[in-house]
Amino acid sequence: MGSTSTKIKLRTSDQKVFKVEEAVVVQSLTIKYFYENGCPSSVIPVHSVSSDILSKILDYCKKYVNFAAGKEDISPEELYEWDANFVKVDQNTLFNLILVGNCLKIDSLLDLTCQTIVNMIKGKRPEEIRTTFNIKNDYTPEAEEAVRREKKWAFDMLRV
Amino acid sequence: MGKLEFSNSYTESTELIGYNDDILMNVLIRLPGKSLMRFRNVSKHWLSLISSPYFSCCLNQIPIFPSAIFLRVQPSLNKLKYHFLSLDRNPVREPSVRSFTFVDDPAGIRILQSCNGLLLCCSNNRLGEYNRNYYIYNPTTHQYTTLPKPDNRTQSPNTIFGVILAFDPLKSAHYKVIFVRSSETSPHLYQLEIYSSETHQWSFSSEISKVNNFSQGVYCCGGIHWRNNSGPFLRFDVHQERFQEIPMPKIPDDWDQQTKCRYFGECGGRLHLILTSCKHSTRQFDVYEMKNDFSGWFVKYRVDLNGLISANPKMTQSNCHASDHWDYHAFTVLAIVVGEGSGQGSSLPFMVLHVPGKVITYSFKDKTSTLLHDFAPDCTDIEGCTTFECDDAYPYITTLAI
Repeated sequence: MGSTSTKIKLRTSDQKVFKVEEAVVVQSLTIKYFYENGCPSSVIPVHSVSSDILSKILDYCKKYVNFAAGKEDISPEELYEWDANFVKVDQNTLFNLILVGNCLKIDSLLDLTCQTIVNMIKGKRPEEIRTTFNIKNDYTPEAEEAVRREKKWAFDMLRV
Repeated sequence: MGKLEFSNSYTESTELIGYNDDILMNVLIRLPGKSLMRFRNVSKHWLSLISSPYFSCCLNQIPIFPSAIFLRVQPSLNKLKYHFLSLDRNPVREPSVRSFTFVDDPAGIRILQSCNGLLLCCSNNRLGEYNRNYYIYNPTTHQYTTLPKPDNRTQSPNTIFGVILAFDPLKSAHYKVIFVRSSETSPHLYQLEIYSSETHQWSFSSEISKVNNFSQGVYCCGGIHWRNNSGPFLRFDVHQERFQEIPMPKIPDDWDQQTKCRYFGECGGRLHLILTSCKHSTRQFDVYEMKNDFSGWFVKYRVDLNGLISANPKMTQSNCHASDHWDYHAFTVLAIVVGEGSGQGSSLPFMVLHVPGKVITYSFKDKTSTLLHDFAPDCTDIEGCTTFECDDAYPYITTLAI
């Protein structure tokens, strides 16, 4: 990164402007595309991303850019731990990180947050999943039983 | 230039996730098979996602690791049963011990091989080939196929010396099954006969001499590998139908005929081999990995079981003295699990070991062990003995292929 300290300006939904190093912000493929195909000097509106979520995401991007450049004096294990702490947030924040990570196309962030969701839901029952994601159960009781019965054996076998 | 528009507000984020197919796919492909089967019940939309061919494709893009092990229980009566031992580091719970009943086979069902998520099974009758069916079974989806009988099997009596499934979902959704059978042309040769799930046809392939142990082949990187107790291993490239010899690892001269194969198996596209000598201590041994070009082996892990042996006195027979030349310790290598895991992956790579009374994992990196299952109080193991052999263990891998 060194000499190129070009700053890109981002404006959030609550009208705050963030000045961020180019190397950090182009971790987002969406912004990278937007930046390369737009006017470099103008402010890029990341409409609907609140400033608190954006600052958290920028923290994440900075950490990775610095780590890759050898500016962070930490081991891969320590980075792994940093990741684990990064996703220790309430569910709402986590979901917002995923949504923004998905739209801004920050793959490593998406990997991390999706894996966090996986660890959170993998032992749960279907009813709990519906509550977690606010999904409406559109099965009739008969249809639900049929899906369950169809794979009864596999279901029993794997319920270890 | 427009604006970057995406999520609207906090209150909607939950629903946006639950109905966003991109994100859901990204989450679902990381889930273990048992969760996937359960989550089909969440909603019709989730069922359609999990059942879609696109999902199978995505699932098969991620590296293949076992999440559990089927462990064959020696039959007290006729029906074979299997322990299902999860490799998750979750608290140990009761394993389910049961028979396979996906098809009504009067003789019961025996697993012959586990290959990247599919199980090759057969009827458990001992009386020749005549009534024996072969099945390809996917324990995740509960789908199975009965292999058709080759047309020519009725004409002359022939014996089957080995059956191997070749399946790699990263390359193809089709599989082949290779039968090693007696040759019709010479009593000194075997004949390979291959079934392809793509064409549903049987075809004859090469004849080979009877030198290797053809009852236990291992599929890895497009080829089947048969070991040999003294000479070179044999690799059969399934696609090109070509043979290649792989030299044995160099073993000390004084091992001579006393070499014992403690493990020969595949994980994540890598072939592993453990050899010990009956004459020497088994406290330390090497795990060999096959070189990428199949030209030989190199030492991948050095194992020192001294810590494990002191922590598990039942591994040693108490009437055996340290001064004895005989330094034997009971353990069976059930599996080697390698690769890069996400989440709890830091414990990789590890061995799944059976020591008297239990099954444990043993990390190559930090030499720590974790209990996977304790067979007490039904345990029949006595000190210095193990119940299960390495060919009693079959890895369970999630795949939605076929």
